[in-house]
Amino acid sequence: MEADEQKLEETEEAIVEEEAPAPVRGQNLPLILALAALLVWHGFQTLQLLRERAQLGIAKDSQEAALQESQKVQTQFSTLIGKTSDLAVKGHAGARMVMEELQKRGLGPAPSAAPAPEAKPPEKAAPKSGEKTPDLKGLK
Amino acid sequence: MLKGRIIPTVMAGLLLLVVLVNILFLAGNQSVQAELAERQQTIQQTMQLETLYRQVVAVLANMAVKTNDKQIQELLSSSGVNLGANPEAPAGAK
Repeated sequence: MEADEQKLEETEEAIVEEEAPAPVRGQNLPLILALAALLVWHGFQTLQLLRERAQLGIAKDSQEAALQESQKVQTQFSTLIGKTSDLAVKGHAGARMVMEELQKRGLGPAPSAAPAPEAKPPEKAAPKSGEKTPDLKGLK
Repeated sequence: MLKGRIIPTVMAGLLLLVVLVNILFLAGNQSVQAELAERQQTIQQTMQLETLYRQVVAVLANMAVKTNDKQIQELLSSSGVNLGANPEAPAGAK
């Protein structure tokens, strides 16, 4: 009698063990779906970021010419201002006027020691600042 | 039991990898965007500077022509600005 009951229990346990994997497979499905959704979403994000990267590269290339031009202009400007400043320090009235005007706009080097009063411009006095500026088209 | 865990594990690993790649791309793109903005700002500032440069050159050229100032003429020519007409012409005409 006891042996029969034990046998019955063993059989039931065996059946339970055989059926056990089935619910595990079912339990994984939501997790797999969630992971798949996240993978798709992040994969899409990766593609978008790659596209953005390519566009940024194109924009950077297109800026290159303008940037080089701007560096050239900056160099020209600083050279001109440097030479004008040197001339102003030597006592050239016109150059000094230009430098003062630039300093009023917050550009150019800080005013250095006052130029020697005996130093005069080689020719005539400089034109007034209110004077009309000539057209530069023919100058360069 | 083990078979049931392989797929989620592989997917989670892939997900982690993709997220890491995304973080790297995002950081790289932000860096490039910042660089582009800085370059754009430089270009815009230089455009204003160019206007000023032209004004300064115009004033100096005007001064050089009106006063026949050799120093200014030399300054301009050394900066790559040629006054076109021969500056010695008026002197020779005298």
